[in-house]
Amino acid sequence: MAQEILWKDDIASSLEEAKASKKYLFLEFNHAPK
Amino acid sequence: MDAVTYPQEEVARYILDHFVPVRIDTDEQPELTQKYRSSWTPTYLILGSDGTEYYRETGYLPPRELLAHLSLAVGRAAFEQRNFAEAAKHLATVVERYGESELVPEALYFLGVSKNKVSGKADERREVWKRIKDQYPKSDWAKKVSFAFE
Repeated sequence: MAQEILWKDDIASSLEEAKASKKYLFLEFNHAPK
Repeated sequence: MDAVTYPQEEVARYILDHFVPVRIDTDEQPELTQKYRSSWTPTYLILGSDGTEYYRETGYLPPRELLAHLSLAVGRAAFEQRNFAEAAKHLATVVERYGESELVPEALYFLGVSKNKVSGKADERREVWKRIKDQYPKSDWAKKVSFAFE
C-alpha cells in the first residue's frame, strides 16, 4: 500500500518528535493554490 | 510537488524514514516565513532536532532530484556533526543511486573527506576526489580539489 506524507504544522512539537525518533525535520514553506 | 513528487512511493518512504515532515503555509504564517527566510515557494529546510539548520533548497524538484537533495542533506548534516561514517553512507547514496544529478561532485567532495576522517588515510580522500577531477573537471568542486593533484 502506498505511503502518504502526513504533514504537521507545528514546528516546536515536531522538533520534539524529531528528537524522540532521532530524525531530522523536513520543513517546507509553501502556500495553498490560488 | 503535491501533484508529482510527493506521491511517488520512494519519495514518501524516504521522507517518512528520515524526517518529521512539517509544512508551513506562507500566507497564514508570515512571521514564521520571515523568521526562516523563505522568500519564494517551495522552500525546503532540513533542521536538526535542536533547530539547527543544515540544508536548504528552493524551487520545484522532480522526484529523483528531491531524493538526491535529501540524501545529500542528511549526509551533510551528519558530516557537520562529525559523524563521518554516517555521512559517508548517505553521500555514497547520492553518487551511486543518483549519478545523473548535478549534486554528485559535491557529494564526492564530502565523501572523500568523510572516508579520510574515518580511516585516517589521506589516500582514500584523494582517490574519491580523483573522480571529481576526472569526471567533473568543469565543476566548482574540481577547483576545490585541484591542489591535491598539483
